Amino acid sequence: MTSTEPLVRVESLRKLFPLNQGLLRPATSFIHAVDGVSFAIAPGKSLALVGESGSGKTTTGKLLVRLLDPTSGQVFMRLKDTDVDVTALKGSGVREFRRHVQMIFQDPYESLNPRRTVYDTVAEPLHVQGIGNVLHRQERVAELLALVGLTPPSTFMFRFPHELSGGQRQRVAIARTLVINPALVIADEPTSMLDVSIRASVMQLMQRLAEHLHVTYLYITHDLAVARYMSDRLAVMYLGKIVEMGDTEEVLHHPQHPYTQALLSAVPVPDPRWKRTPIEIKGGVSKPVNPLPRCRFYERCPLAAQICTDNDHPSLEDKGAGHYVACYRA
Amino acid sequence: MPETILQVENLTMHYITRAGAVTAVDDVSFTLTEGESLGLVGESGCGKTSVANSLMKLLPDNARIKSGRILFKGVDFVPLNEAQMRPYRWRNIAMVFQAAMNALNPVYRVSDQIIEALETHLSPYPFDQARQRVAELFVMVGLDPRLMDQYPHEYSGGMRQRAVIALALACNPDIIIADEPTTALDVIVQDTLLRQLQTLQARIGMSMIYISHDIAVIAEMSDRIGVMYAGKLVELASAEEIFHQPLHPYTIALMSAFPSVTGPRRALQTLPGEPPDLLDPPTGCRFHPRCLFASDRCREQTPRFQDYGGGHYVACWHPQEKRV
Repeated sequence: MTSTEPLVRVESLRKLFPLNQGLLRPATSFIHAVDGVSFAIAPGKSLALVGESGSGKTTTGKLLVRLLDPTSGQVFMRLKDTDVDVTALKGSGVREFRRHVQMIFQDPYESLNPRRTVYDTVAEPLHVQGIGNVLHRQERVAELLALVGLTPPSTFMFRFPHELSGGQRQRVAIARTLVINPALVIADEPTSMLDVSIRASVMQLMQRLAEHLHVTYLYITHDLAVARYMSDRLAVMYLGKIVEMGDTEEVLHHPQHPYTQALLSAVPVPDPRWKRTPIEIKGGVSKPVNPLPRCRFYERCPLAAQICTDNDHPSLEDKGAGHYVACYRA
Repeated sequence: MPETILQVENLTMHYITRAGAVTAVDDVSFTLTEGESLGLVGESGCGKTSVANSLMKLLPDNARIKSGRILFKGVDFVPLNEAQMRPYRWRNIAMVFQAAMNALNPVYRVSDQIIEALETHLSPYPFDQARQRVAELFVMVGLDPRLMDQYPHEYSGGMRQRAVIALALACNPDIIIADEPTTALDVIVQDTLLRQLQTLQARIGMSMIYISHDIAVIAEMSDRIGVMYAGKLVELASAEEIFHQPLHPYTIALMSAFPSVTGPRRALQTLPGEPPDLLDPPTGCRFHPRCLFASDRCREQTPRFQDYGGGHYVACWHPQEKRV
């Protein structure tokens, strides 16, 4: 594997959801959930997609695993030294592709089938992909359960989800994701439902597995503090657009986009001595329904000027050392 | 010296379930002074919401307060029945509920719901005065009074939570209990709401009990903090001491398991195991199976909740003095 080639490359990805479609009447308004998103992830590196609800981060994740088809744009994945256009795959091509890409969902209470044992759940991807025989699968499941800390595996294999705690369920979900050795894992808020003491250990487990199994993560979260621990690079999304992207510590310490600055200043700090200087921004997140051709953040931006509404949404520009910002005023 | 407004003494509350009695609140004692903001923090199932519901005596049918006293300005709430309790609710102690979606009735206008609270608890309340009061409350919580006759579904999540705060403030309570009021909100909305709540608390001079699982939010909202674990209050001290000189191993673990966007990126500490099953809690100290410092004594005897100086209470046989 050459480290210079990105594992995933996303180019101008768009997903519009029609709003008022009728049986014979074409839709006239669309939610621009993901609107021209481009990024790349190098093998073994993790990217965090951060944003508030409605920013399009989950939709982006679903487009990457082909749970949704994009309106336009492309996703390229580097498999066996060739770039495969994921968005053009059909039928068996999708199944083959899913050997390499898996997703972890937010809610371990909903993402596991309550009627299936841990073994059934974890072995399912092997079954779907037709990998190994029963004996091999049992061995592999046991190996994964041990890896995610559900030890001894024999005591967990034939339990049902209701017999497990939230943290244990999320470990089962992680084991299922990793059982077929995927290259890319899309983790959609995997720790947001967990308690603090359990959350830290699941985060640590995911980091350890990334190193151990060379997994590349796309980590989707609303929590900047969690993103800081789980990613090398960070992309901040706002209403379907990436507004800032760069090295995680760099973005957190030197945010340049006014939205990132406002978001960071609003994060509560676990230290009573710390005095924050809040940045006032107006209103809440709106819905990107037929957005006007201007900066998406215009209405709430403290720096808004004429240039921001005369022109379309600014494109991401490199401000040095791979720190990209989409703002006319930054 | 501000006066004590609420004194909770050895409160024990359990839920009767088919599987047995679950002691959700076990021998909890604390005081709240006038104008103070007390934070209660803990993980899910630690009993923080059960404490709040006990204080209001808003308990489901299968819950019983087994022992202890809840003294509000000298009046014990525990022996009071529904009718005797009603005059205190909303006028003296009000609650900001967790789920803003469900705390408002979807088929009534927001203004009518607040007016109903005024008429019920401060009757007689003339209608036009009540409407004026609603407008006043809307301004206080940062809502446009012109929106008062809308229905809850016409509000955004943040606006609904503001309306729930307005409802809690309607009768000018002495104490407000806020149970995870911002959990479902985005950070920026959460931030403006928290600051508004702080400003209001200072201006009205009411006392507040702020309940959350989020240590960072608790740090910002509280003068003093109580840490709960498995139905027990394990540590109670000033916010400063809880964060910089915690004594209980659980508090220390909780602090170092919490990620922050500021400061150096230190490794997160993990805590082994899971919170206990309250149907069958561990003997002695409830934290001992997960504690690094556990000894035989911890396995056998329940530690007493005692003052280690300057009002820093802790229930632990081996309090740690770690400076974070």
